[in-house]
Amino acid sequence: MTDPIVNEVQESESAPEKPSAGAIRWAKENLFSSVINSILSLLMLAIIVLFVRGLLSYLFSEERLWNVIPRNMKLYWTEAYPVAEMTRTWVSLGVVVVLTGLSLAVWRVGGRTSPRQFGRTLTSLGIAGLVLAILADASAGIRIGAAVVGAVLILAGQAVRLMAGPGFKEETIHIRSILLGVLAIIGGIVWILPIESGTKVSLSIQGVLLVVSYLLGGLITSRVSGGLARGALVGLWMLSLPVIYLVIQRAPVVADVPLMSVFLPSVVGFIVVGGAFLWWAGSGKAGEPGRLAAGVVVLAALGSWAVSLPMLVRFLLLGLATFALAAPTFGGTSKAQKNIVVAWSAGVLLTAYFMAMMQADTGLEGLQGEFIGGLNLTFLLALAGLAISFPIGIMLALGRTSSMPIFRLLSTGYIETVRGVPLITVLFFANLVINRFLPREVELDDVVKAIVAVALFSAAYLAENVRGGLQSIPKGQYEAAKAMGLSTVQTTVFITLPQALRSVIPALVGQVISLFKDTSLVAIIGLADFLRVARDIVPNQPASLGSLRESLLFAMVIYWIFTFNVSRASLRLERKLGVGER
Amino acid sequence: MTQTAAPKAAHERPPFWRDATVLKWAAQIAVLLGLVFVAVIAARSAARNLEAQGLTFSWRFLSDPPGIQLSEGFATLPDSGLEAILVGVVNMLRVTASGVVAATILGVVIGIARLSSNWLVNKSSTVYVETIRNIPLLLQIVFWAAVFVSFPSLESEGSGPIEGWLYATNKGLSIPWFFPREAFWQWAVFLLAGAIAARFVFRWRIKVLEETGHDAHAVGYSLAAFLAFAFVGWFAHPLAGAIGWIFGGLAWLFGSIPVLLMQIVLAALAVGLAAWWIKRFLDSLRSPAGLARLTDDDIFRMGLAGAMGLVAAVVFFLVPGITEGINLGLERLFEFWDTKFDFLRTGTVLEFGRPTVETPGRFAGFGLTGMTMSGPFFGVWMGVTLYTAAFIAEIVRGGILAVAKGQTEAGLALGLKRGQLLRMIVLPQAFRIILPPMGNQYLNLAKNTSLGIAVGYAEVVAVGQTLFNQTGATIQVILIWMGFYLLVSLILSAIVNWYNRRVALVER
Repeated sequence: MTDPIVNEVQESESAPEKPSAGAIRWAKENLFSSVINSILSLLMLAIIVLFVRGLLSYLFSEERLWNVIPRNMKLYWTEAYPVAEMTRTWVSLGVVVVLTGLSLAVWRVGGRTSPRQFGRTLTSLGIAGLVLAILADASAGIRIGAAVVGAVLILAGQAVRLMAGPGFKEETIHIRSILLGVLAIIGGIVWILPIESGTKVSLSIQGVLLVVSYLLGGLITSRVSGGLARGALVGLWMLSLPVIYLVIQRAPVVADVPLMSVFLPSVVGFIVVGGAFLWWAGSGKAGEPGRLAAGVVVLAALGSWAVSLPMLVRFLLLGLATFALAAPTFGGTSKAQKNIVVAWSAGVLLTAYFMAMMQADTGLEGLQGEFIGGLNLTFLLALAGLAISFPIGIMLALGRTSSMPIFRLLSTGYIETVRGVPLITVLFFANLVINRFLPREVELDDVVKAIVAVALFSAAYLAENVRGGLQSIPKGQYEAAKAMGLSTVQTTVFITLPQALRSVIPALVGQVISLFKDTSLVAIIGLADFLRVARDIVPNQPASLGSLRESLLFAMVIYWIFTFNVSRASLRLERKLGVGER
Repeated sequence: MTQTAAPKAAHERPPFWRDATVLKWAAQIAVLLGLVFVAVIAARSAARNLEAQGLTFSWRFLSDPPGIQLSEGFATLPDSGLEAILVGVVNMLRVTASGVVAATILGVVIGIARLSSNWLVNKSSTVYVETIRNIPLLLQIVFWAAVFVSFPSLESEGSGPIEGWLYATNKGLSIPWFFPREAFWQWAVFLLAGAIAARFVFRWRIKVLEETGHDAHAVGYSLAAFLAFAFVGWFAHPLAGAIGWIFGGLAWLFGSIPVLLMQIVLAALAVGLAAWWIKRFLDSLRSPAGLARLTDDDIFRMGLAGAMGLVAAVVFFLVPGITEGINLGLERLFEFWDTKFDFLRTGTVLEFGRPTVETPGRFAGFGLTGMTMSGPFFGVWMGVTLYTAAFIAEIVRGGILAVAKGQTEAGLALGLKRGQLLRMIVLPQAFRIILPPMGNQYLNLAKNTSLGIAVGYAEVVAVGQTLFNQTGATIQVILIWMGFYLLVSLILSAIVNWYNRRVALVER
C-alpha cells in the first residue's frame, strides 16, 4: 500500500509568455501543431466536455442531498464526542491553529508573487466559473450565480494585469495578503452555510487566532534568533500531540492517580539520582566503570518488567538505560554534560506527566465506547503512527545495514514479512489476536491496537526508505569519520544518519502520505474513523438516507486536500534543500 | 570516547570484555535470547487464554464443512474450510489478473500522455494522477461499489445498453465470453507448445535479421507459428490427452510411495539445498588467488544455513504429518489434472456464451450466458485499476525521462519519426528502468485487492474472516493469510528479479 512518489520533475510553465497578444498562436503551438495533434486535442476536448458536464450535472442535480454534509459536521469531525464537551475539540483545534500561524511566520512561508501570475489565477478561476455555468445541468439560480462570479473574477484578473502594465513581472504581491483574502472569503461562506451559530462563532475565532498568531510569530522572529524560535516550535508541535489527545480531549480526572505515593517520589528520585549518575557518565572520565554501570542499569531496566513495579518506574528505568548508553557518545565537555542532565530532567517530568494523564480515568460522560472518532481519530492514527514508526523504522534500517548478522537477519525478516502482507491482515492481527498473546490482565484499547498496527506496518516501509539513504552515502564519509576517531554510534548519529535522512525526504513524505491514506483501513475493523463516519454512520441516519455517494465524495475531497498539500509542501522543501541537485 | 592508555602490540588481543567481536556477538545473542523468551511467554499466555475460552489450536476447520456461503466463486457453498479459502484465492487472483492488465494499459497511456506536447492531453493526465493517488484506495473502492448500486435495475426497460450483448445493471455487468469446455486443457497443451515454438522462430528470424540486415518479419513469423499450432491443436486435441498418462503416473507415485522414503527424499533435499547454498557462498568468496579469509560473519552465515537445512531434515522425520500432507496434496493435485486429460478424448474446446436474462431480475446461471461482473468485483477492480494506473503512469513517465537525451537526438538525426523513436529507441531503454518499480506496483495491486472485504468481495481475507467468525480459528486464519500473501510476494519478486537479470545491460 505504499507508493513512493516518483521524483517530480518541475513542471515547466506551459502557459504562454504573452497570452493576450498570442492566445491564438499559443493554441496553435500547444494544441494544433500537427494534424494528429489537432485530432488528439479535439478528441480530448470532447472527452473533457462530456466528463465535466456529467460531473457537474451530477454534483448540482436537484436529487443530491448536499445539505447532509454541513448538518453532520460534528459527526465527521469527532463522531461520538459528547456535545457538552465540544469546547475541548475547539481548544484542540485552536492549539493547532496557533502553532500553524506561528510556524508560517517563523519559517517565512509565502513570499511574493507577481501581479501577472495573480491575475492569471483569478482569470482561470473565473473561466472555471463560466464553464460551470455553461455546462452544468443545474438550477438557473446556480448557473446565473456561477456566471456572475466567473465574470467578476475574469474582470478582476484582467484588471490586476492591466494595472500591473505590460511586461511588468516584478513580484510585488504578498502571498500572505492573498491568503488573508481567501480566509475572509471562507469566513463569509461559513456564515452563509446552514450550520449552528455556535459553530460559526467558533470557526471565526479560529480564523482570528490564525491571524493573531501569525502576527505574533512575526513579532517573535524579529526579537529572537531564527534557530531558537524554530527549535522551540518543533518542540511545541511534538508536545501538542499528546497534550491535545491525552489532556485536552480525554479530560482526565487526576484525583485517582497515586500522585503522592508513586509519582512524586519517582520523579524526584529519578531526577536527582539519575541526573547525578548521568552527570558522572557523561563527564568523559567514567571510562570502564561507566560502561559497567550502564550495563547494570540496562539489566535493571529489563529486570523491572519481571517484578511488580509501577509502570512509571519501569519506563523511567528504560529511559535511564537509554540515556546511560548514549551519555558517553554525546558527553565529554561540561556543556554537553549539562545538556544531558537537563534533557533527562525534562524527559522525566514529561514522561511522568503524560503517564499520570494516561492512568487517570476520563472525565467525559455519556459515551459509548471510544471517546475519539471521525477526522479527529484519523489524525490521531496518522500522527501517533508516524511518531512511533519513525524511530522503529530508523532502527530497522540500521539493523538491516548493520554488519552484525543476527540483527541484519531479524531486521530483514521483519521488514520483508511486513512488506509482503497487506495492512488489513496486520490490523486484524492487532485487533483480534494480540490480546491472546498478552497476559490476561493487560487489556489494550482498540485505538491503541490500531495505532500499534499502523506504526509497525509503516515502520517497515520507512526502514526501506531510510536504508536507501544510508546506502547512498559514499564510503569516504565512513572512512573520514573513522579517521577522526569517532565511534560507530557517533558516526551513525552525527555523520551518516543526518545525510541519509536528508537525501530521502521525498520518499519519507510519500510514506507519510501513504500512512495517512492507510489509516482509512481501520474502518474495516470497526473503528469510527473519518471514512467509517462518511460511509456507515452519516448515510445511515434516518434523516440522511440515500446520501452515501455525497458523503463519500465529501470524504474524498477532504482526504485529497490534506494529501495534495503535503505532497506540494514536500516538493517545495525538496527544491529548497536542493536534494538531487548536488 | 575514552582513550586507551598504552598502544598494544598488534598481535595482542584485548581482554574479552573489550573485544569488539565478542561484544557484538554477545549483544546479538542476548537480543535473540530475549526475543525467544518473549515469544515463549506470548505462546504460553496464548495457550492459557485459548484454554480459558474453551478453544483449542487445531487445523481441523480446514477439512470440516464450514457451513458458510460465499457471494461468488467456483464453489459458493464450499465443502471444507480449505475449499472456501481456495475459492477466495481464485477470486483474488481473478481480480488481480484483470486489474494488472487494465492498470498497465491505462497507466502506460497516461504516463506517455503526461509527456505529451499537447497541452490539453498533458494537463488532463496530470489532473488524473494528482487526483487519484491522493485519495485513499479504500474510499475509491467503496465509492465505485456505491456507484454500481446506482445502476439501473435489471427489471427496468432497456436496462442493457445493447440487449443480449451488453448489460450494465445493478445485478452485474454482463458481456459475451468464451468459456473453456471439457477439451480445453488438451487444446491448451498445443497453445503452450505453440508459444515455445514461436519463441524459437522469433530467435531464428532475429538471427536472420542480424546476419542479412533485411527485415525478417520476426513478429509475423512467430505469430504465424503460434497460430499454426493453435489451429492444428483445435482439431488434434484428442492426441494431447496423452499428457494425462504422466499426471496419472505421478498421482500413482505419490499415492503409493512409502512415507519413510518420502521423508528421506525431503530430508536429503533440505540438506542438499543448504549444502548447495554454502558451496555457492564459498564460490562467491573465492578469488583467483584462492579462498579469501573467512570472517566470523561468513562462518556464522554458513553455520546458520547448514543448521536450517539440518533442522528441516530432522523436522521431516519428527513430524510425519508434514510428509503425509505433502504426499496426499501432490496425489490429489495430479489426480485433479489427470481428469482434465484423456487420450483420444474428443470434445468441445471453447463455447461462446451471450448474456441472457432468465427470469425477470436475474441473469441466467453462470457459465454459458456471458461473463457477468458482480458489484463487489466491479468496485475492487475499478478501484485498484484506476489507483495503480496513476502510480504506473508516474513510473512510465520517470522511466522515459530517464532515457538519455542523446538517444532521442540521435534517433531524430537518423530520421526516425516520433512514433518510431518512442517505439524503437526510447521505450525499450525505458523498460529496463521501469520494470522493477512496476513489479512493486503489481505486488501492491495484489495486496490491495484485500480491501475487497470492505465491499463484500469474497477474496482471501473476506473468506477468512467469515471462516473464523464461524469456527473461532482466528490465529490459524491470520497465519494462512500472511503465508498466502508472502508466497504471492515471493513468486512475484522472483519473476521480476529473473526478468530484471535477463534484460539488464551487460556492463564492462
